[in-house]
Amino acid sequence: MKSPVALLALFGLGHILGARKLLIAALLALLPAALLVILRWQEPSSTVAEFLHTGLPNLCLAVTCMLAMFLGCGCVRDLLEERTLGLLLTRPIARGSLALGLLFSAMLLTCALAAFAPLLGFGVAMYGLQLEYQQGEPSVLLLSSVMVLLAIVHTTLFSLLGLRFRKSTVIGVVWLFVVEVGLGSIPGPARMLAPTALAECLLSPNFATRASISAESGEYQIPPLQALCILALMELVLIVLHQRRAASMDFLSADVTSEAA
Amino acid sequence: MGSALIECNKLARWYGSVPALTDVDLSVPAGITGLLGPNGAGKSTLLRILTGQISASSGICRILGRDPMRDASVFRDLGFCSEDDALFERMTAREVLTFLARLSGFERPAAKERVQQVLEITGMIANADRLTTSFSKGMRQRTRIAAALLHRPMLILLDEPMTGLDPVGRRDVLELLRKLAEQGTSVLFSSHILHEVGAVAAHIVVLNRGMVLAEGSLAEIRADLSDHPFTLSIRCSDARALMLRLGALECVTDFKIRSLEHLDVGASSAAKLLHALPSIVLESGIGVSEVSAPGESVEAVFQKLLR
Repeated sequence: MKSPVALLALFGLGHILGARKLLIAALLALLPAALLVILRWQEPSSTVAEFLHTGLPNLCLAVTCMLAMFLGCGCVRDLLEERTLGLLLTRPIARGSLALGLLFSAMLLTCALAAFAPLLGFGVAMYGLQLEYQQGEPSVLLLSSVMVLLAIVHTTLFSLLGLRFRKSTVIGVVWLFVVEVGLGSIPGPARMLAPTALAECLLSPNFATRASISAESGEYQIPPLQALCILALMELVLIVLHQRRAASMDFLSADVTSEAA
Repeated sequence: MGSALIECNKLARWYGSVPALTDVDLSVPAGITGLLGPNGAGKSTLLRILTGQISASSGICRILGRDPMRDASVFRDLGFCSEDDALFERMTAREVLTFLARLSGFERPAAKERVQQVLEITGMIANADRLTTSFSKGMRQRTRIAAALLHRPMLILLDEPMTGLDPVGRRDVLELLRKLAEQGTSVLFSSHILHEVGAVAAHIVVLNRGMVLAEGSLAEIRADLSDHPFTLSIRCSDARALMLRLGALECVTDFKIRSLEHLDVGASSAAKLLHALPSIVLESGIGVSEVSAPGESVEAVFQKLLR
Protein backbone atom coordinates (compact mmCIF):
# COMPACT_ATOMS: atom_id res chain seq x y z
CA MET A 1 0.00 0.00 0.00
CA LYS A 2 1.22 3.51 -0.83
CA SER A 3 2.03 5.66 2.16
CA PRO A 4 -0.30 8.60 2.78
CA VAL A 5 2.58 10.99 2.10
CA ALA A 6 3.10 9.47 -1.38
CA LEU A 7 -0.65 9.53 -2.08
CA LEU A 8 -0.84 13.16 -1.03
CA ALA A 9 2.24 14.06 -3.09
CA LEU A 10 0.65 12.50 -6.17
CA PHE A 11 -2.62 14.25 -5.43
CA GLY A 12 -0.87 17.58 -4.89
CA LEU A 13 1.04 17.16 -8.13
CA GLY A 14 -2.18 16.52 -10.03
CA HIS A 15 -3.74 19.50 -8.31
CA ILE A 16 -0.94 21.84 -9.42
CA LEU A 17 -0.71 20.32 -12.92
CA GLY A 18 -4.37 21.03 -13.46
CA ALA A 19 -4.18 24.57 -12.14
CA ARG A 20 -3.66 27.78 -14.09
CA LYS A 21 -0.55 28.55 -12.10
CA LEU A 22 1.29 25.79 -13.96
CA LEU A 23 1.20 27.94 -17.09
CA ILE A 24 2.83 30.85 -15.26
CA ALA A 25 5.42 28.50 -13.73
CA ALA A 26 6.21 27.05 -17.15
CA LEU A 27 6.58 30.55 -18.63
CA LEU A 28 9.02 31.40 -15.83
CA ALA A 29 11.06 28.28 -16.64
CA LEU A 30 11.13 29.26 -20.33
CA LEU A 31 12.44 32.75 -19.52
CA PRO A 32 16.21 31.98 -19.76
CA ALA A 33 15.81 30.27 -23.15
CA ALA A 34 13.60 33.08 -24.43
CA LEU A 35 16.15 35.70 -23.38
CA LEU A 36 18.87 33.76 -25.19
CA VAL A 37 16.86 33.77 -28.41
CA ILE A 38 16.23 37.53 -28.10
CA LEU A 39 19.93 38.16 -27.40
CA ARG A 40 20.97 36.10 -30.42
CA TRP A 41 18.86 38.27 -32.70
CA GLN A 42 20.47 41.46 -31.53
CA GLU A 43 24.00 40.62 -30.39
CA PRO A 44 26.99 38.75 -31.86
CA SER A 45 27.48 35.14 -30.79
CA SER A 46 30.34 36.06 -28.43
CA THR A 47 27.87 38.05 -26.33
CA VAL A 48 25.56 35.08 -26.21
CA ALA A 49 28.42 32.80 -25.15
CA GLU A 50 29.26 35.24 -22.38
CA PHE A 51 25.62 35.30 -21.34
CA LEU A 52 25.81 31.54 -20.71
CA HIS A 53 28.64 32.19 -18.29
CA THR A 54 27.30 35.29 -16.53
CA GLY A 55 23.67 36.11 -17.18
CA LEU A 56 22.18 32.63 -17.37
CA PRO A 57 23.22 31.37 -13.88
CA ASN A 58 21.94 34.53 -12.21
CA LEU A 59 18.74 34.42 -14.22
CA CYS A 60 18.28 30.74 -13.32
CA LEU A 61 18.82 31.55 -9.63
CA ALA A 62 16.13 34.24 -9.82
CA VAL A 63 13.76 31.97 -11.75
CA THR A 64 14.25 29.15 -9.23
CA CYS A 65 13.50 31.48 -6.31
CA MET A 66 10.36 32.73 -8.02
CA LEU A 67 9.21 29.21 -8.96
CA ALA A 68 9.72 28.04 -5.38
CA MET A 69 7.81 31.02 -4.04
CA PHE A 70 5.03 30.60 -6.56
CA LEU A 71 4.52 26.88 -5.98
CA GLY A 72 5.70 26.58 -2.37
CA CYS A 73 3.56 29.29 -0.79
CA GLY A 74 0.36 27.79 -2.18
CA CYS A 75 0.91 24.07 -1.73
CA VAL A 76 -1.19 23.96 1.47
CA ARG A 77 -2.66 27.47 1.39
CA ASP A 78 -4.43 26.91 -1.96
CA LEU A 79 -6.41 23.96 -0.55
CA LEU A 80 -7.21 26.02 2.52
CA GLU A 81 -8.56 28.83 0.37
CA GLU A 82 -10.48 26.40 -1.84
CA ARG A 83 -11.94 25.04 1.41
CA THR A 84 -11.05 21.48 0.42
CA LEU A 85 -8.37 21.03 3.06
CA GLY A 86 -11.05 19.92 5.52
CA LEU A 87 -11.63 16.80 3.40
CA LEU A 88 -7.99 15.82 4.00
CA LEU A 89 -7.81 16.95 7.62
CA THR A 90 -10.60 14.58 8.59
CA ARG A 91 -8.71 11.49 7.41
CA PRO A 92 -6.55 9.43 9.78
CA ILE A 93 -3.32 11.10 8.71
CA ALA A 94 -1.05 13.11 10.95
CA ARG A 95 -1.10 16.79 10.03
CA GLY A 96 2.66 16.75 9.60
CA SER A 97 2.38 13.96 7.00
CA LEU A 98 -0.40 15.84 5.24
CA ALA A 99 1.67 19.01 4.93
CA LEU A 100 4.75 16.98 3.98
CA GLY A 101 2.92 15.20 1.16
CA LEU A 102 1.69 18.49 -0.27
CA LEU A 103 5.15 20.03 0.15
CA PHE A 104 6.72 17.13 -1.77
CA SER A 105 4.36 17.70 -4.69
CA ALA A 106 5.36 21.38 -4.93
CA MET A 107 9.00 20.48 -4.42
CA LEU A 108 8.95 17.87 -7.18
CA LEU A 109 7.50 20.28 -9.71
CA THR A 110 9.74 23.18 -8.67
CA CYS A 111 12.82 20.96 -8.94
CA ALA A 112 11.77 19.69 -12.37
CA LEU A 113 11.20 23.21 -13.71
CA ALA A 114 14.31 24.62 -12.00
CA ALA A 115 16.46 21.86 -13.58
CA PHE A 116 14.72 22.25 -16.93
CA ALA A 117 15.30 26.02 -17.23
CA PRO A 118 19.15 25.90 -17.56
CA LEU A 119 19.01 22.71 -19.62
CA LEU A 120 16.68 24.38 -22.08
CA GLY A 121 18.81 27.55 -22.06
CA PHE A 122 21.95 25.61 -22.95
CA GLY A 123 20.04 23.42 -25.39
CA VAL A 124 18.73 26.45 -27.25
CA ALA A 125 22.22 28.01 -27.28
CA MET A 126 24.03 24.89 -28.49
CA TYR A 127 21.57 23.35 -30.90
CA GLY A 128 19.16 26.13 -31.79
CA LEU A 129 21.65 28.99 -32.05
CA GLN A 130 24.59 26.80 -33.18
CA LEU A 131 27.02 28.08 -30.50
CA GLU A 132 30.05 25.89 -30.00
CA TYR A 133 30.33 24.27 -26.60
CA GLN A 134 33.91 23.51 -25.68
CA GLN A 135 35.64 21.50 -22.97
CA GLY A 136 36.14 23.53 -19.83
CA GLU A 137 33.13 25.76 -20.43
CA PRO A 138 30.46 26.08 -17.73
CA SER A 139 28.76 22.77 -17.00
CA VAL A 140 25.02 22.77 -17.52
CA LEU A 141 24.69 19.72 -15.28
CA LEU A 142 26.31 21.57 -12.40
CA LEU A 143 23.98 24.50 -12.94
CA SER A 144 20.90 22.23 -13.05
CA SER A 145 21.97 20.31 -9.92
CA VAL A 146 22.53 23.49 -7.94
CA MET A 147 19.13 24.80 -9.08
CA VAL A 148 17.50 21.59 -7.82
CA LEU A 149 19.21 21.98 -4.47
CA LEU A 150 18.13 25.60 -4.21
CA ALA A 151 14.60 24.67 -5.27
CA ILE A 152 14.36 22.11 -2.45
CA VAL A 153 15.44 24.59 0.24
CA HIS A 154 13.35 27.45 -1.08
CA THR A 155 10.17 25.41 -1.63
CA THR A 156 10.34 24.22 1.98
CA LEU A 157 10.95 27.77 3.15
CA PHE A 158 8.06 29.25 1.18
CA SER A 159 5.74 26.41 2.10
CA LEU A 160 6.51 27.15 5.75
CA LEU A 161 5.66 30.80 5.11
CA GLY A 162 2.43 29.61 3.48
CA LEU A 163 1.55 27.69 6.65
CA ARG A 164 2.37 30.68 8.81
CA PHE A 165 1.06 33.71 6.92
CA ARG A 166 -2.07 34.41 4.95
CA LYS A 167 -0.24 36.84 2.64
CA SER A 168 2.69 34.48 2.29
CA THR A 169 3.53 35.58 -1.27
CA VAL A 170 4.01 39.17 -0.10
CA ILE A 171 6.21 37.95 2.76
CA GLY A 172 8.05 35.79 0.20
CA VAL A 173 8.78 38.78 -2.03
CA VAL A 174 10.04 40.72 0.99
CA TRP A 175 12.23 37.73 1.89
CA LEU A 176 13.68 37.60 -1.62
CA PHE A 177 14.62 41.28 -1.59
CA VAL A 178 15.79 41.57 2.01
CA VAL A 179 17.55 38.23 2.51
CA GLU A 180 18.45 36.87 -0.91
CA VAL A 181 19.30 40.14 -2.62
CA GLY A 182 20.25 42.33 0.37
CA LEU A 183 21.84 40.01 2.91
CA GLY A 184 23.27 37.75 0.18
CA SER A 185 25.24 40.69 -1.22
CA ILE A 186 26.82 41.73 2.07
CA PRO A 187 30.42 40.57 2.28
CA GLY A 188 31.07 38.40 5.31
CA PRO A 189 29.53 35.42 7.13
CA ALA A 190 26.04 37.03 7.27
CA ARG A 191 25.49 36.01 3.66
CA MET A 192 25.40 32.37 4.82
CA LEU A 193 21.81 33.02 5.85
CA ALA A 194 20.81 33.51 2.23
CA PRO A 195 20.31 30.16 0.42
CA THR A 196 20.90 31.84 -2.95
CA ALA A 197 24.32 33.11 -1.81
CA LEU A 198 25.19 29.57 -0.72
CA ALA A 199 24.07 28.20 -4.08
CA GLU A 200 26.28 30.78 -5.80
CA CYS A 201 29.24 29.42 -3.83
CA LEU A 202 28.56 26.00 -5.37
CA LEU A 203 28.56 27.52 -8.86
CA SER A 204 31.78 29.47 -8.33
CA PRO A 205 34.19 29.60 -10.17
CA ASN A 206 32.46 27.91 -13.13
CA PHE A 207 29.86 30.65 -13.40
CA ALA A 208 30.14 34.37 -12.78
CA THR A 209 27.99 35.09 -9.73
CA ARG A 210 28.24 37.34 -6.67
CA ALA A 211 30.37 34.62 -5.02
CA SER A 212 32.93 34.51 -7.83
CA ILE A 213 33.13 38.31 -7.91
CA SER A 214 33.77 38.30 -4.13
CA ALA A 215 36.44 35.64 -4.59
CA GLU A 216 38.16 37.67 -7.27
CA SER A 217 38.19 40.77 -5.09
CA GLY A 218 39.57 38.80 -2.14
CA GLU A 219 36.44 39.19 0.02
CA TYR A 220 35.10 36.59 2.43
CA GLN A 221 34.02 33.46 0.61
CA ILE A 222 32.35 30.23 1.69
CA PRO A 223 34.00 27.02 0.42
CA PRO A 224 31.62 24.90 -1.74
CA LEU A 225 31.59 21.95 0.67
CA GLN A 226 30.75 24.22 3.59
CA ALA A 227 28.01 25.88 1.53
CA LEU A 228 26.57 22.46 0.69
CA CYS A 229 26.58 21.43 4.37
CA ILE A 230 24.91 24.68 5.41
CA LEU A 231 22.22 24.24 2.75
CA ALA A 232 21.59 20.66 3.92
CA LEU A 233 21.38 21.79 7.54
CA MET A 234 19.09 24.64 6.55
CA GLU A 235 16.75 22.21 4.78
CA LEU A 236 16.72 19.91 7.80
CA VAL A 237 15.80 22.77 10.14
CA LEU A 238 13.12 24.01 7.74
CA ILE A 239 11.56 20.54 7.46
CA VAL A 240 11.45 20.23 11.27
CA LEU A 241 9.85 23.68 11.57
CA HIS A 242 7.42 22.79 8.77
CA GLN A 243 6.36 19.62 10.60
CA ARG A 244 5.99 21.38 13.93
CA ARG A 245 3.97 24.18 12.40
CA ALA A 246 1.67 21.78 10.56
CA ALA A 247 1.15 19.64 13.67
CA SER A 248 0.03 22.57 15.80
CA MET A 249 -1.68 24.63 13.13
CA ASP A 250 -5.22 25.90 13.51
CA PHE A 251 -5.80 25.21 9.81
CA LEU A 252 -9.18 26.76 9.28
CA SER A 253 -9.07 29.54 11.83
CA ALA A 254 -7.99 32.22 9.34
CA ASP A 255 -11.04 31.56 7.18
CA VAL A 256 -13.37 31.33 10.12
CA THR A 257 -11.99 34.50 11.66
CA SER A 258 -12.67 36.44 8.51
CA GLU A 259 -16.20 35.02 8.38
CA ALA A 260 -16.85 36.00 11.97
CA ALA A 261 -15.50 39.48 11.36
CA MET B 1 -15.73 10.14 30.75
CA GLY B 2 -18.61 7.62 30.90
CA SER B 3 -20.37 6.23 27.84
CA ALA B 4 -20.75 9.57 26.03
CA LEU B 5 -19.21 9.69 22.56
CA ILE B 6 -18.51 13.39 22.78
CA GLU B 7 -17.67 15.27 25.95
CA CYS B 8 -17.01 18.98 26.16
CA ASN B 9 -16.11 20.77 29.32
CA LYS B 10 -16.19 24.58 29.50
CA LEU B 11 -15.41 24.78 25.82
CA ALA B 12 -14.94 28.31 24.52
CA ARG B 13 -13.79 29.81 21.27
CA TRP B 14 -13.18 33.45 20.50
CA TYR B 15 -12.51 35.01 17.12
CA GLY B 16 -10.60 38.08 18.20
CA SER B 17 -13.06 39.80 20.50
CA VAL B 18 -16.08 37.93 19.11
CA PRO B 19 -17.18 34.98 21.26
CA ALA B 20 -18.36 32.08 19.10
CA LEU B 21 -18.72 29.56 21.92
CA THR B 22 -19.01 30.29 25.62
CA ASP B 23 -18.50 27.67 28.33
CA VAL B 24 -20.10 24.83 26.42
CA ASP B 25 -20.62 21.74 28.54
CA LEU B 26 -21.86 18.92 26.40
CA SER B 27 -22.30 15.19 26.58
CA VAL B 28 -23.48 13.42 23.46
CA PRO B 29 -24.70 9.83 23.82
CA ALA B 30 -24.88 7.15 21.12
CA GLY B 31 -27.73 7.42 18.62
CA ILE B 32 -28.88 10.40 16.60
CA THR B 33 -28.26 13.80 18.12
CA GLY B 34 -29.46 17.02 16.58
CA LEU B 35 -27.54 20.22 17.11
CA LEU B 36 -30.15 22.89 16.77
CA GLY B 37 -29.64 26.59 16.54
CA PRO B 38 -30.19 29.63 14.34
CA ASN B 39 -27.51 30.84 11.95
CA GLY B 40 -24.52 32.18 13.85
CA ALA B 41 -25.32 30.13 16.96
CA GLY B 42 -21.88 28.51 16.96
CA LYS B 43 -22.84 25.10 15.50
CA SER B 44 -20.16 25.04 12.82
CA THR B 45 -17.52 26.32 15.23
CA LEU B 46 -18.43 23.56 17.67
CA LEU B 47 -18.23 20.90 14.94
CA ARG B 48 -14.92 22.28 13.68
CA ILE B 49 -13.49 22.05 17.20
CA LEU B 50 -14.88 18.55 17.58
CA THR B 51 -13.08 17.52 14.38
CA GLY B 52 -9.84 19.25 15.32
CA GLN B 53 -9.92 21.71 12.45
CA ILE B 54 -9.73 24.64 14.80
CA SER B 55 -8.62 24.68 18.40
CA ALA B 56 -10.67 25.79 21.38
CA SER B 57 -9.63 29.01 23.10
CA SER B 58 -10.20 27.24 26.39
CA GLY B 59 -11.84 24.12 27.77
CA ILE B 60 -11.55 20.44 27.01
CA CYS B 61 -13.10 18.41 24.23
CA ARG B 62 -12.90 14.65 23.83
CA ILE B 63 -14.41 12.78 20.95
CA LEU B 64 -14.49 8.99 21.25
CA GLY B 65 -12.20 9.53 24.23
CA ARG B 66 -9.50 11.23 22.16
CA ASP B 67 -8.30 14.74 21.45
CA PRO B 68 -9.11 15.36 17.77
CA MET B 69 -6.51 18.14 17.53
CA ARG B 70 -3.64 15.88 18.53
CA ASP B 71 -4.72 12.36 17.64
CA ALA B 72 -5.48 11.83 13.95
CA SER B 73 -6.31 8.17 14.62
CA VAL B 74 -9.72 9.33 15.86
CA PHE B 75 -10.66 9.75 12.19
CA ARG B 76 -10.58 5.98 11.76
CA ASP B 77 -13.82 5.95 13.77
CA LEU B 78 -15.11 9.40 12.95
CA GLY B 79 -16.59 10.76 9.74
CA PHE B 80 -17.24 14.42 9.05
CA CYS B 81 -19.19 16.28 6.42
CA SER B 82 -18.63 20.01 6.68
CA GLU B 83 -21.02 22.69 5.48
CA ASP B 84 -18.41 24.03 3.03
CA ASP B 85 -19.64 23.46 -0.49
CA ALA B 86 -16.20 22.36 -1.67
CA LEU B 87 -14.90 19.32 -3.51
CA PHE B 88 -11.68 18.72 -5.40
CA GLU B 89 -12.11 20.08 -8.88
CA ARG B 90 -11.03 18.32 -12.09
CA MET B 91 -11.89 14.98 -10.48
CA THR B 92 -14.96 12.80 -10.78
CA ALA B 93 -16.95 11.88 -7.69
CA ARG B 94 -15.57 8.36 -7.93
CA GLU B 95 -11.98 9.62 -8.11
CA VAL B 96 -12.49 11.94 -5.14
CA LEU B 97 -13.97 9.16 -3.04
CA THR B 98 -11.37 6.58 -4.12
CA PHE B 99 -8.56 8.99 -3.18
CA LEU B 100 -10.14 9.69 0.22
CA ALA B 101 -10.74 5.98 0.79
CA ARG B 102 -7.07 5.25 0.07
CA LEU B 103 -6.09 7.98 2.52
CA SER B 104 -8.33 6.27 5.07
CA GLY B 105 -6.27 3.12 4.70
CA PHE B 106 -8.15 1.10 2.07
CA GLU B 107 -6.13 -0.89 -0.49
CA ARG B 108 -7.03 -0.02 -4.08
CA PRO B 109 -9.49 -2.93 -4.75
CA ALA B 110 -11.17 -2.52 -1.36
CA ALA B 111 -11.38 1.24 -1.93
CA LYS B 112 -13.10 0.75 -5.29
CA GLU B 113 -15.60 -1.65 -3.77
CA ARG B 114 -16.37 0.61 -0.83
CA VAL B 115 -16.71 3.66 -3.07
CA GLN B 116 -19.27 1.78 -5.16
CA GLN B 117 -21.21 0.99 -1.97
CA VAL B 118 -21.30 4.57 -0.66
CA LEU B 119 -22.22 5.89 -4.10
CA GLU B 120 -25.21 3.55 -4.04
CA ILE B 121 -26.11 4.50 -0.47
CA THR B 122 -26.11 8.21 -1.29
CA GLY B 123 -27.83 7.85 -4.64
CA MET B 124 -24.85 9.15 -6.59
CA ILE B 125 -24.15 6.09 -8.70
CA ALA B 126 -25.55 7.64 -11.90
CA ASN B 127 -23.30 10.68 -11.56
CA ALA B 128 -20.23 8.93 -10.19
CA ASP B 129 -18.11 9.44 -13.28
CA ARG B 130 -18.95 13.09 -13.86
CA LEU B 131 -16.55 15.87 -12.92
CA THR B 132 -17.48 17.46 -9.62
CA THR B 133 -17.39 20.90 -11.25
CA SER B 134 -20.52 19.96 -13.19
CA PHE B 135 -22.40 18.97 -10.02
CA SER B 136 -25.36 20.76 -8.53
CA LYS B 137 -25.12 21.80 -4.90
CA GLY B 138 -27.18 18.79 -3.89
CA MET B 139 -24.89 16.38 -5.75
CA ARG B 140 -21.86 17.91 -4.13
CA GLN B 141 -23.52 17.55 -0.75
CA ARG B 142 -24.30 13.88 -1.40
CA THR B 143 -20.70 13.28 -2.49
CA ARG B 144 -19.39 14.82 0.72
CA ILE B 145 -21.81 12.75 2.78
CA ALA B 146 -20.50 9.69 0.89
CA ALA B 147 -16.96 10.76 1.82
CA ALA B 148 -17.94 10.86 5.49
CA LEU B 149 -19.36 7.32 5.28
CA LEU B 150 -16.41 5.79 3.39
CA HIS B 151 -14.51 4.22 6.27
CA ARG B 152 -17.57 2.91 8.13
CA PRO B 153 -17.11 5.25 11.11
CA MET B 154 -18.84 4.59 14.41
CA LEU B 155 -19.68 8.29 14.73
CA ILE B 156 -20.54 10.73 11.96
CA LEU B 157 -20.71 14.49 12.33
CA LEU B 158 -22.68 16.35 9.69
CA ASP B 159 -22.79 20.12 9.49
CA GLU B 160 -26.07 21.23 7.90
CA PRO B 161 -26.31 18.04 5.80
CA MET B 162 -29.62 19.00 4.23
CA THR B 163 -28.34 22.27 2.78
CA GLY B 164 -28.79 22.45 -0.97
CA LEU B 165 -30.95 19.35 -1.15
CA ASP B 166 -34.43 19.32 -2.64
CA PRO B 167 -37.32 17.93 -0.52
CA VAL B 168 -36.75 14.41 -1.84
CA GLY B 169 -33.03 14.69 -1.11
CA ARG B 170 -33.77 15.94 2.40
CA ARG B 171 -36.10 13.03 3.02
CA ASP B 172 -33.45 10.63 1.68
CA VAL B 173 -30.79 12.04 3.99
CA LEU B 174 -33.08 11.83 7.01
CA GLU B 175 -33.86 8.25 6.03
CA LEU B 176 -30.13 7.56 5.67
CA LEU B 177 -29.49 8.94 9.16
CA ARG B 178 -32.19 6.64 10.54
CA LYS B 179 -30.67 3.65 8.75
CA LEU B 180 -27.20 4.46 10.03
CA ALA B 181 -28.53 4.67 13.56
CA GLU B 182 -30.26 1.30 13.15
CA GLN B 183 -26.94 -0.18 12.03
CA GLY B 184 -25.27 1.13 15.19
CA THR B 185 -23.62 4.24 13.79
CA SER B 186 -24.07 7.33 15.90
CA VAL B 187 -24.81 10.64 14.23
CA LEU B 188 -24.49 14.22 15.33
CA PHE B 189 -25.93 16.63 12.81
CA SER B 190 -26.51 20.34 12.93
CA SER B 191 -29.44 22.15 11.45
CA HIS B 192 -31.35 25.36 11.84
CA ILE B 193 -34.42 23.72 10.35
CA LEU B 194 -36.36 22.51 13.31
CA HIS B 195 -38.61 19.83 11.93
CA GLU B 196 -35.60 18.03 10.46
CA VAL B 197 -34.08 17.69 13.89
CA GLY B 198 -37.38 16.77 15.49
CA ALA B 199 -37.98 14.10 12.84
CA VAL B 200 -34.95 11.93 13.57
CA ALA B 201 -33.00 13.08 16.61
CA ALA B 202 -33.43 11.21 19.87
CA HIS B 203 -31.23 13.72 21.64
CA ILE B 204 -31.23 17.43 20.96
CA VAL B 205 -28.77 20.14 21.86
CA VAL B 206 -30.06 23.67 21.45
CA LEU B 207 -27.34 26.21 20.85
CA ASN B 208 -27.70 29.97 20.60
CA ARG B 209 -25.12 32.74 20.71
CA GLY B 210 -22.44 30.21 21.55
CA MET B 211 -24.24 28.81 24.58
CA VAL B 212 -26.09 25.55 25.16
CA LEU B 213 -29.66 26.53 26.01
CA ALA B 214 -31.02 23.05 26.47
CA GLU B 215 -29.96 19.46 26.08
CA GLY B 216 -31.89 16.22 26.17
CA SER B 217 -34.70 14.49 24.36
CA LEU B 218 -37.44 16.63 22.86
CA ALA B 219 -39.77 15.38 25.61
CA GLU B 220 -37.27 16.39 28.30
CA ILE B 221 -36.84 19.81 26.80
CA ARG B 222 -40.61 20.20 26.58
CA ALA B 223 -40.97 19.09 30.20
CA ASP B 224 -38.51 21.78 31.22
CA LEU B 225 -40.75 24.25 29.51
CA SER B 226 -44.02 22.84 30.82
CA ASP B 227 -44.67 25.77 33.07
CA HIS B 228 -44.56 28.12 30.15
CA PRO B 229 -47.84 29.45 28.75
CA PHE B 230 -49.11 27.47 25.82
CA THR B 231 -52.18 26.84 23.72
CA LEU B 232 -54.04 23.59 23.18
CA SER B 233 -56.27 23.03 20.19
CA ILE B 234 -59.16 20.60 20.82
CA ARG B 235 -61.68 19.17 18.34
CA CYS B 236 -64.67 17.83 20.24
CA SER B 237 -68.39 17.15 20.02
CA ASP B 238 -69.36 20.25 22.07
CA ALA B 239 -66.86 23.09 22.31
CA ARG B 240 -69.03 25.29 24.54
CA ALA B 241 -69.61 22.57 27.13
CA LEU B 242 -65.94 21.76 27.25
CA MET B 243 -65.08 25.45 27.63
CA LEU B 244 -67.32 25.69 30.70
CA ARG B 245 -65.68 22.66 32.26
CA LEU B 246 -62.14 23.82 31.54
CA GLY B 247 -62.94 27.34 32.74
CA ALA B 248 -62.99 26.00 36.28
CA LEU B 249 -59.29 25.24 36.09
CA GLU B 250 -56.97 27.79 37.63
CA CYS B 251 -54.29 27.43 34.98
CA VAL B 252 -56.62 28.18 32.06
CA THR B 253 -56.22 31.79 30.98
CA ASP B 254 -58.30 32.21 27.84
CA PHE B 255 -60.46 30.51 25.22
CA LYS B 256 -61.10 30.90 21.58
CA ILE B 257 -64.07 29.11 20.06
CA ARG B 258 -63.21 28.47 16.42
CA SER B 259 -66.42 26.56 15.68
CA LEU B 260 -69.01 24.56 17.56
CA GLU B 261 -66.61 21.63 17.51
CA HIS B 262 -63.24 23.35 17.72
CA LEU B 263 -61.80 25.10 20.76
CA ASP B 264 -58.44 26.72 21.53
CA VAL B 265 -57.50 26.80 25.20
CA GLY B 266 -54.79 29.07 26.54
CA ALA B 267 -53.08 28.00 29.78
CA SER B 268 -50.39 29.36 32.05
CA SER B 269 -48.98 25.89 32.65
CA ALA B 270 -48.90 23.15 30.06
CA ALA B 271 -48.26 20.46 32.64
CA LYS B 272 -51.31 21.35 34.77
CA LEU B 273 -53.69 21.57 31.83
CA LEU B 274 -52.49 18.30 30.29
CA HIS B 275 -52.80 16.58 33.67
CA ALA B 276 -56.37 17.77 34.22
CA LEU B 277 -57.74 17.39 30.70
CA PRO B 278 -58.27 13.58 30.53
CA SER B 279 -60.35 13.39 33.70
CA ILE B 280 -62.48 16.40 32.66
CA VAL B 281 -63.20 14.81 29.30
CA LEU B 282 -64.07 11.44 30.85
CA GLU B 283 -66.30 12.97 33.49
CA SER B 284 -68.19 15.24 31.09
CA GLY B 285 -68.70 12.59 28.43
CA ILE B 286 -67.79 15.07 25.69
CA GLY B 287 -66.35 13.27 22.69
CA VAL B 288 -62.87 14.48 21.81
CA SER B 289 -61.58 13.61 18.36
CA GLU B 290 -58.29 15.50 18.29
CA VAL B 291 -55.99 17.28 20.71
CA SER B 292 -53.00 19.12 19.33
CA ALA B 293 -50.58 21.69 20.61
CA PRO B 294 -49.56 23.82 17.65
CA GLY B 295 -47.42 25.87 19.98
CA GLU B 296 -45.60 22.74 21.14
CA SER B 297 -43.95 21.83 17.86
CA VAL B 298 -40.17 21.67 17.86
CA GLU B 299 -40.24 25.14 16.42
CA ALA B 300 -42.30 26.50 19.28
CA VAL B 301 -40.05 24.85 21.86
CA PHE B 302 -37.07 26.32 20.08
CA GLN B 303 -38.59 29.79 20.01
CA LYS B 304 -39.40 29.58 23.70
CA LEU B 305 -35.82 28.60 24.48
CA LEU B 306 -34.50 31.46 22.43
CA ARG B 307 -36.72 33.87 24.34
